[in-house]
Amino acid sequence: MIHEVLLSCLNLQSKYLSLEDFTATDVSTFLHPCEKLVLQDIITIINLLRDIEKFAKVCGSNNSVNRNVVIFDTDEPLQKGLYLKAFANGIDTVLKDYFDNITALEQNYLKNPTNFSLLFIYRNLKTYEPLALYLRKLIRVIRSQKLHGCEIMQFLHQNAEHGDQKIRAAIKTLQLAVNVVFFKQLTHWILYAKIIDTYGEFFIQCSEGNINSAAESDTSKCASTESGKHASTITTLSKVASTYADIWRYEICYELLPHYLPTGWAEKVLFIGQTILIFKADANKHKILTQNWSKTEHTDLEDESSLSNEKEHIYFGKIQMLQNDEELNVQHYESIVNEIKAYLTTRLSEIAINQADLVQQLKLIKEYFLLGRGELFLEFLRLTYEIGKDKYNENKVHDFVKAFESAAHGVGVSEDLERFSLSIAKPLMHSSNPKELEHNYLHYMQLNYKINWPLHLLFSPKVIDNYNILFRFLLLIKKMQFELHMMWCNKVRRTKLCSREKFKLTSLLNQLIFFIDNLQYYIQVDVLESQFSILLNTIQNKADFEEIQKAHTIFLANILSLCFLLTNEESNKLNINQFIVSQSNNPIYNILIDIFSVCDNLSNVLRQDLCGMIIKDYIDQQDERFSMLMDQLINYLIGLKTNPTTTPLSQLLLRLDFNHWFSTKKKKLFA
Amino acid sequence: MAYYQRTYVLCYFCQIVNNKFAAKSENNKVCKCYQNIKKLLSIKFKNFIRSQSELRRKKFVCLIYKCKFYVKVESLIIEAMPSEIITLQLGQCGNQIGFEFWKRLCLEHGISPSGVLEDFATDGVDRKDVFFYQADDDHYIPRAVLLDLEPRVIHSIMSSPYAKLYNPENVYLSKHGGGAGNNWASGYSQGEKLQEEVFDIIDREADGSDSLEGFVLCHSIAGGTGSGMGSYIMERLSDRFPKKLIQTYSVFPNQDEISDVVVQPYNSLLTLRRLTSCADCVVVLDNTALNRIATDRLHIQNPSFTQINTLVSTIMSVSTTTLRYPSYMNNNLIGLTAPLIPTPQLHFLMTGYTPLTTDNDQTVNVRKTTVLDVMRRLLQPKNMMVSTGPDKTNHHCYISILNIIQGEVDPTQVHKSLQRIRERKLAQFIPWGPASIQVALSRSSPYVQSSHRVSGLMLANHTSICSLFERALGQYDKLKKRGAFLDQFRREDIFKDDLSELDDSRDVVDCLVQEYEAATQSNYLQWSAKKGQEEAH
Repeated sequence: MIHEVLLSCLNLQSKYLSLEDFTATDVSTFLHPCEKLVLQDIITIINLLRDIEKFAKVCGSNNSVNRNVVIFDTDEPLQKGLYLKAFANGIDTVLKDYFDNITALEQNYLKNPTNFSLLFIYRNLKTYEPLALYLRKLIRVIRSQKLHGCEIMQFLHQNAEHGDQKIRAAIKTLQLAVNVVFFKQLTHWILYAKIIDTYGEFFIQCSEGNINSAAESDTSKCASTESGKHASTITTLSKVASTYADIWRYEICYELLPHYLPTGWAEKVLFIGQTILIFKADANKHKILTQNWSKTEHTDLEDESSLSNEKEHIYFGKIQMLQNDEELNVQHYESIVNEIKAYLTTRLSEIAINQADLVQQLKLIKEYFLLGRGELFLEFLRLTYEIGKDKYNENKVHDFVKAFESAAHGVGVSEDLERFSLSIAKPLMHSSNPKELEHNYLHYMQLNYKINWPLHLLFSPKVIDNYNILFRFLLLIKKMQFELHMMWCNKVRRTKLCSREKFKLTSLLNQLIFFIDNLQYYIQVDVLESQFSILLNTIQNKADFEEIQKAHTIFLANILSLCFLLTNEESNKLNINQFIVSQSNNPIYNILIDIFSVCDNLSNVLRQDLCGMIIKDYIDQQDERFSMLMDQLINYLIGLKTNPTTTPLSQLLLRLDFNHWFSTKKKKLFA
Repeated sequence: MAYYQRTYVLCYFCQIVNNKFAAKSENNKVCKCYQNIKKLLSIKFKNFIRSQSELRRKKFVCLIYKCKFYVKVESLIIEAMPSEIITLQLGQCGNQIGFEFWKRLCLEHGISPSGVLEDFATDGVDRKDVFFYQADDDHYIPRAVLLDLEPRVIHSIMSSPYAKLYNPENVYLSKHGGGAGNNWASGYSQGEKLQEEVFDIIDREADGSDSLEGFVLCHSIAGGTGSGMGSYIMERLSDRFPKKLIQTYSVFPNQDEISDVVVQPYNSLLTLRRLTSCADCVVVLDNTALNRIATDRLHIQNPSFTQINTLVSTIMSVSTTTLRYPSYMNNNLIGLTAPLIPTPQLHFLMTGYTPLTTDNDQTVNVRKTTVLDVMRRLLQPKNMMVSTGPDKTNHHCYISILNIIQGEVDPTQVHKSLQRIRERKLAQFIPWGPASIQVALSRSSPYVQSSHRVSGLMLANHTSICSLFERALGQYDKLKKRGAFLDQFRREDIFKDDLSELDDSRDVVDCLVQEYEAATQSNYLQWSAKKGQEEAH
């Protein structure tokens, strides 16, 4: 019977624990009641171990035959995963000690069968009970909370500290086992920007599926070398282009990120991968080109090494070291990732500045998105002045795009058209009323920019969207200025102030022109030029791409906020006609939009030939409205002046109220 | 440019015709193919056109117009030529300063005296087409019309290396060559007689530009041709092109020396009337101040015409930089003038420039200038190119200021400078409306080396400019009281019946002075409205 017990201890995988039969009816014949209790205890422990072993067996096995075995009837089967498997395999390793011990026991028993008692076995087994209990607890939690992927790491780390030496060692073993998988994935990502993650367990995830796009393009590239080159080249090229967009699909899945790893670290890892992805995309392009010209393979190697200079093996070794580090020292993680990143970013900024001409590209961005080339957009507005008034039709969008192109030809910047193009997102015809569409074409306008490799990291789609917000805002100001100038030219110039309404109009126009001009000077000189010079200085002083990226982000955030465009709300739309509807969080922005609407209304009224009285009333009305709005604005700005964080706003105040006109006028009003 | 663009369209148009496509259905394609054709055929096609026979060329011209028509119908404006400006140079003084201006522009745009683009200037970002147009053979030709009644200055221009620059058809010399004898009335009536020929030139030039923005007139107000003929042409221009701006660079006579033109006060007054009513913006170049600056600031004992004209050409070229180079604002003439001129009558602008150095005097310590230095100096009366005389009551003030600053400017300094100027009350502003110093940071030509780190031009609308008009009035009154030299005026048609023209002009200028004086007061707008109503009744 003792042997039977020992065998049961060893064979934890049998379908049925025959030992349990002993506890049944007739054992009392040869077992003392005490022994019976001991046996029961043994059986409990064995059952514990059996559960654990079963779990390890099911989750750790490669073949999916016994996948369907339901261990606990109430539970659904766990999601498949490499981490789970590693965990299960780790359990096997942990139990190895136990098996060794029992095997030794059996050997002893075979040598000397008489000396063995149930109690002796029980004592031996008992030492493993805490471990088994703890393991089962872990398994239960994993099971009940359905922990998946990197969450298991997190969970293990949480439970790693245990007073019992044995248990602690066991957990360490488990952690090491799981870390192997983690580091394999990490290495692949950091060095090759590939995610080998069929079960979605890594903390960097590719949204919208399509995880293997890089791999796919690789395979298709291989195919293209063999078969007809020309056709497949095109497809691969388009795939390469799509990988540029792909890089922004990789995201950090914070639920999967173990808590002991800081998010900053994860972001760095993500950045490294994205960088490599960009390089790979370019390398692919080069490869295709070289393959078209000659089939030599050397060039490929050179291209790949252009980024990492064959330093992969060094970093590979370092990551391996991490893997063997039992202490899970987060500082080591950080230092190595930092080291790789520093190396990469320096390389990248060299390439960005030398090859991609970063400074020039930024200047172009400023000239186009930020209306540095005023004459181009003035010409564009002049050309669209008539088109803008027409009813919406299919051709209108086309006309706008053409107008932009011809404006570019007019001012002699046709070459830049290859990089910048205007597009108008087609508004949904049925959803909004047609009147709204007539004026708000600006709202749908956007500039597209062809990004130089490898600046995709700098100009993510989100960044370009922000630039477009600025672009539309600045273009709106420019449009207002243009219309004011037209009014000045047609109504004020070379006339005598012979009637009251003329005089009112002159004075109102004068104030509006003054306002719009100074707003523009504020934005262009005080905000854009100043911030841009800061950005350029950073680029010229620092060699690190990350610093550049940071400086660029700060630049963008600053100009957005200083142009009053930074709001929490998503639905921040430049809608000059529906100013009441578009309540954004920024009060100054709202006032600005209101003032624009004054300009717009004025120009609409003056365009029609109405009789004197109506115009006079209208002008009075708009004049009142404008002075009210100016009053509000000056109030806001004065109120904000005392706040030290908003010094840039005092610049606008200084420009607008240089001769204290608006502020004294206000005082008089209240006096 | 315009020429080429027509050819591209034409080129495609011919292809359509050749391929027997229906032209109308292909209009969209015209635009689509436009760019490709530009790349492929720009040179080939020019040669092709040239190689055609006369008859076929004429056919092509017809096609051009047809094509233009289709394009316009589709509102796809292919020919876009933003804001061209035609320069008119009148009389001895006008032609001299105009000549200096064009010399300067050629230098800044890298155009050789014969009109060919220099090799180093081929990839510039500047906008040459505002002031120049390109002929079929790649020559850059100024949009300039040279007019004079006597041949001396124009002959000297046409015998200089720059002779080939101008379009010879745009140079008009009166046939008798006798000049206007420093007589406004003579210049005016000759202008009337010659108007057809002169406006043939101007109309042709205006037709050649696609979106003409305005005219720039260079003349002096004291002589005969520039003032008299200039006045007549200004009147006609504002009739014929009511939508176009007229900006003038008007040279006011030197008050410190005795003029050889005895009727100068009459001439000035009569011209001032036209400048008040017909021009949109007058940049006053006061010879008195220019001479004073040359002697005091540049330490030249007897400044020559060339030295004075260099000053003038600097002002003229810098005041147009925002039009000629990419910039975020002030990209056209309206954008430049509208903010400066709040009410239509107050359109006489002063200029100031710093730092001032001569060619042989390069090592002065203005190298370390900052934006604040430049902006502060520009506000000093001694740097002003208009001599306004001492302002005893100290009530005159700025209506508006535009500073065009070139060079290595730290943009963050602009705000600090503005703040400093306001704190120290360096500039007095009008009390009846918003006003401030507008600062435009402009690019400067890469081909002209400047020894200065920062330089600046100020365009200012200041009420003290009326002292200039008061002076002119005073001199006029002195002369008129004696009834001196009126005979030579009576000889001309305009004064045949009576001298009411002179009296009217005096009234207009007097009103102008009053208006400027009123503009120093806070109730100016009410004053102006009241006055307007009185006049209307």
